[in-house]
Amino acid sequence: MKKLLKKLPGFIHSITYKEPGSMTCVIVEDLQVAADYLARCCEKSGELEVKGHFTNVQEALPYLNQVTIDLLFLDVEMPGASGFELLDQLAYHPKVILTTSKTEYAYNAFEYKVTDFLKKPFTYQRFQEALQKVKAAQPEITEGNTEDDHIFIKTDGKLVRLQNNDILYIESMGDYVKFITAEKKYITHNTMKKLEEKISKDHFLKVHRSYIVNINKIADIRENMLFIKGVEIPISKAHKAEVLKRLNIV
Amino acid sequence: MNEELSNQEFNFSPIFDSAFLYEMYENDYQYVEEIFSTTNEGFQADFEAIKKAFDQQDLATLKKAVHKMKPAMGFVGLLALQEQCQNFEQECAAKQEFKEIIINYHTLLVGLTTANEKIAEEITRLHSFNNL
Repeated sequence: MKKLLKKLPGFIHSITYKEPGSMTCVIVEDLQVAADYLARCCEKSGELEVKGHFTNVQEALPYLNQVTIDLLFLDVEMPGASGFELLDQLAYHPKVILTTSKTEYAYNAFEYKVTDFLKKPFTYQRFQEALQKVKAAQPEITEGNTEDDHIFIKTDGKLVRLQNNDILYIESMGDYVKFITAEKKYITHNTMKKLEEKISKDHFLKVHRSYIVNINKIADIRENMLFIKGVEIPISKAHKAEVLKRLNIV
Repeated sequence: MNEELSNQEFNFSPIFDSAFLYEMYENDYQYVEEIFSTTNEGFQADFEAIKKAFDQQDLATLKKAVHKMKPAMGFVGLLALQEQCQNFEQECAAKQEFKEIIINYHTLLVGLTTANEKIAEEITRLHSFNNL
């Protein structure tokens, strides 16, 4: 990925590789050499897809409020607003690793619940330690997290609350998922794998690699198909036993 | 570069902390050359920002400009200079009078000017090494 980020401040770009199950991240850093080094660390890890690099908060914020990313590498002191001001204005809370050359920000880092703090320059080993902390951290209250009876999803640049009882089923669309309710369809950037970890197991059941259904909405089942509001949803062989087990069959 | 040469260690000039650079970049000297080149390309603008802030006797802006230069020096293994930047930055925050930072500013300026020259020389050396 040599020179990938070079001379592209503020330019949104994607790296061409994407490992299965990898996390997405954005770099907000005004020092080019630091941004290049970070991007290289991300590539080397094989676990991070860099979605973009911005050199200031003003350019980063509109992008970050339109997409959902897993991890934000954030410098603190940049021209204009600081990294902390960006966090104040974000509509959701990805994991954050601060990249700065000042240790004085440690207290603020704690206040903002950032996952780790990389003092520039840092070694790849130190980068890996930070990444492990991100992976080990509990999910934040953000897209897909649930309370007892509802879920918040990020769609069209805002967080929308959906009651579990209103969701009929959820369909995978690659890097996106579609939530279908009786009234509306919502598309959000997420994967089925991540969603499975977050949704209520009492309400929802995976019936196919591309479908999660609300158990209470199933009208009937015929062989390898189930029906919700007249829509046919396939049940895969791998999931059929679990489906039958969860149904209240008398 | 052939395989035999790829296993050779590049001997960094004494001003650079070679142990740190080996730890940071292992033996990927193509990448080290890239890091040095990127630092060199950004140097002049950051250096001018420092000088401009000093000329305008603007301590807050001077502090910010030195803050940006500081990690750039770290990435090329100029750790003593990075620390010097750090100390100067703190001095800008602590001092009330502009005249109190003048002597250390000029010391820093000499350090940065030397660094700029040494970085450029090291790029040439690295380039030759990488193209043997």
